[in-house]
Amino acid sequence: MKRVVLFCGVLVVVIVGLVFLYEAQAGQPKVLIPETTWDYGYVPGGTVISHYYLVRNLGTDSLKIKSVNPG
Amino acid sequence: MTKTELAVGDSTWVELIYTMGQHSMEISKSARVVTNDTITGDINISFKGKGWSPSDSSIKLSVDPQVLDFGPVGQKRRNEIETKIKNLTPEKMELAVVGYPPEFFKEVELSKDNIKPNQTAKLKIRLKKEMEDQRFQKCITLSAKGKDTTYRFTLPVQKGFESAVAEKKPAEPEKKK
Repeated sequence: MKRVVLFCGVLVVVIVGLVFLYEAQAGQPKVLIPETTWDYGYVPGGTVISHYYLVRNLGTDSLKIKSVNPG
Repeated sequence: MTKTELAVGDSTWVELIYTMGQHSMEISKSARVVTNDTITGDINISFKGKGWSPSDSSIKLSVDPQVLDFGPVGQKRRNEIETKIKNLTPEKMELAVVGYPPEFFKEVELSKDNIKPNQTAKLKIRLKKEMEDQRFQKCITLSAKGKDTTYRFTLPVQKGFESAVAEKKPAEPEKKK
């Protein structure tokens, strides 16, 4: 009985280790937005303004931008 | 946003667009960028600004015109436009362009970096050739720095849209039948 418990314990440790190893090898995306705020200052009323924010992937896997939601 | 999936080392732009109200009030808006980067998590991007009317005395600069309008699409092509920035403060102001979308404009140039009291500088914008037939609403942000005062202001640049701040002509009297 003790051997079975020991075997199961070792098996769990090995599986967890393999999962971590797989994830480390698969890579991880890393998003970076260098400038997250913008100050327009004074803006003529009734006009349309727009600003571009740079989004970079500094990770080791592809980065997916799922959505941009108004806050 | 031109791309929603970025390869390793790749980058893209996210554009936030907002229509200012007619009133001289401060605005502050934000948006949340959601990605598959579970470690960093969502990132908030934000902007702020203040409504500015031509009669607003809180900014001692006169800009004419305030909206740089390249006119309708398809008509006589205009690829260059100018506006005049007059210094109404009693001090010398240092002018600088602090932000604009480079993919739209070939040239954004100030005639002077410094303007003395009551003097005027010209801001000239030249469109890229591939943008001459495009409809767009973009903007340019400038700063004016004096010894005691600093102003930051944004001028809308558009093509193919009716100007929201254009002077309204007085209504014509109704014709009698």
